[in-house]
Amino acid sequence: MLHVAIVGDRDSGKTTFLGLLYAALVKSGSDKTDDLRFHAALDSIEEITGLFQQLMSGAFPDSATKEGMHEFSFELAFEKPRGGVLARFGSRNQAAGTSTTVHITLPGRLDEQHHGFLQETATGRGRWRDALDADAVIVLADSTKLAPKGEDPEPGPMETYDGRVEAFLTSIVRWRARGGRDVLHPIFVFSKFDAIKPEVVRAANVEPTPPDVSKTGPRAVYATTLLEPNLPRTLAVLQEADRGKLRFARPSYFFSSVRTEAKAHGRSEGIRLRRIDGAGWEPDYSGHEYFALLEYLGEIAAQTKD
Amino acid sequence: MPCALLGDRASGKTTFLGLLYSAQVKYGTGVHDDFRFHAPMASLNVMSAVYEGMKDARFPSATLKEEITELSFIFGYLRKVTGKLPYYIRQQNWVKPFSTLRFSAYDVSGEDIEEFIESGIASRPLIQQLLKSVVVVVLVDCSKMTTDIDTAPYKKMLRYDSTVAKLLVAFQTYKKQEYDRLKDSGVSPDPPMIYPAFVLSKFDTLRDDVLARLGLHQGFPEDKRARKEYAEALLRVFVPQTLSQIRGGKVAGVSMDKAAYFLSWVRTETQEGMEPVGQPRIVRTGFRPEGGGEPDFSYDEYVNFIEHFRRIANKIPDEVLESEKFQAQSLIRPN
Repeated sequence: MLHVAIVGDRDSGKTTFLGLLYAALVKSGSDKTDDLRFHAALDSIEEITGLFQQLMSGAFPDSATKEGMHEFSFELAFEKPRGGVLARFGSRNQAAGTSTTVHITLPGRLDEQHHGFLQETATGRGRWRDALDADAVIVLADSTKLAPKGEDPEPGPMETYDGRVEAFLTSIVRWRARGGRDVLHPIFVFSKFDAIKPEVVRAANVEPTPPDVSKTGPRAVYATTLLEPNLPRTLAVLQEADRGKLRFARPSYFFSSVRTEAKAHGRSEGIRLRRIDGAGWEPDYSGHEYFALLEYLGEIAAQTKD
Repeated sequence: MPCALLGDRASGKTTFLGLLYSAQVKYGTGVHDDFRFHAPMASLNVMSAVYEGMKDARFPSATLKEEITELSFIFGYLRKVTGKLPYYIRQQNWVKPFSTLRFSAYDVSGEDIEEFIESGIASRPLIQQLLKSVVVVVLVDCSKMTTDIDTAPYKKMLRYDSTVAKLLVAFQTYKKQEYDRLKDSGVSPDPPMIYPAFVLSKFDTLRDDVLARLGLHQGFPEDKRARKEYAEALLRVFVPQTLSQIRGGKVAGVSMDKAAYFLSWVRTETQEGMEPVGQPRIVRTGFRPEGGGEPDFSYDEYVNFIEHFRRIANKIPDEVLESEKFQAQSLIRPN
């Protein structure tokens, strides 16, 4: 089983991210010619279908859905090797024809953890305990909160979050020193990337759109250029030499965006739906990024099985 | 063989069963004489009332619909070999000329199996029986297929898709649990399988503009493969979660790949230039040598549906026997 934990700041789009991941699964697993197959677990189906309904109705998840959404489990399989833009995951053969259970945990907000958990006086319980044992951690970086690198010594909008992610990763390092899995795959997801401030892009001297998903090198440079001024402590933990038994895999980066539109009668803005040729509608989102992420999870699962 | 019939409110479940009964009556009395059916008294009472109403041009009443929670038919298919035997020999009890199959349709909604979805335990006998279904018939109401995403039918279809996807996951989970239980008890069962059958109900109400926007032509194709592609093109748009769970069943250990697709429509009276007032009336066929006064409906599709079960009947008995064998073992096992 592949354990994945998602962490993110308040209102960083964790639930929307999970809903879009499910939408990507539904889209890429409903045609006979699709090479992806998935099957949702019974204990997740109620919440995830409810979330999907909201997104497909053009609404962002409501507070009740956010409160109730804590995990999503599914069987995932890739039927045959895939080339093209996703060829970078060259060892797809390992995953071909086999299935794996993917268990995604949304443990909650990082500021909800009790103090002892981060200080190693407590090991955490329930979903936070699952997060400590994860094979991969998805760190959501809310692109609307990214700030440009500046001379100003004032703390940036992500400083507190950066500290919390750093503490979380450090607690994983400490926990794993006692045993458990010896590799952790860090995955950064830039949420709301369509709403990144233009001055942040300008100051970083990068293009407004990230390099193609197949160009892993330029993509990593692009992402770290944006993350360094905002999550320096988190990035530093990943680069530290002394981590005991645990090894961090090379981080991966994905960019999530979903187009919004104003709703009538003064209601808050909603998700714009787009037509797909011969296949109905879907949220107008960066689907290719989500498909690439699913491929990547399949790749990690194959490695974990070895 | 229990068969679950899933359908949204007002999706045409009772009409479907009424037309199926009508097709059974006609097909079972045809000159070929290779299909028989029998219904228990309770089911027969309800179905004959529905049938009578339809022959009188009326759709099933709400009162009748409420009476239906479980309906059973026993289908008998003449075995190929025995069909060639002389009539006298065929009539002998020891020949067993018909392979039989119990078609039990349960009227279920998402709420009915909520307990199983929430707790993983099916305590109600009806739900246990339902979850044992080997065939799952899903009615998809074509009158709710719309390309206008801000309408109530669109949202209803979204909700229905979620409900059916949930039910399919529940069926799959139950089947896998039962399979594992059989294996643990020393029985070697075949890998579990569910045969989904989709019925596109009220197909005559599917709007041309919907088809045009989806790039589909009018009229359902004849060719088997083209039928499947056509139906799946519609289902991919309107029930994508359901389709994805059927496709993904195999990776969770229960194959659901052998889906079949059928149409259902019944012609209603229309008066040119006038809006129908009140409940529409069913058009009935004229009298001919092969019968008449029947509802004018997609009879051939219903015959295909009945024949579809003939193919399944050839594969199912082993699984049923294994299950029964296991239950018998459980009964004699001391506590």
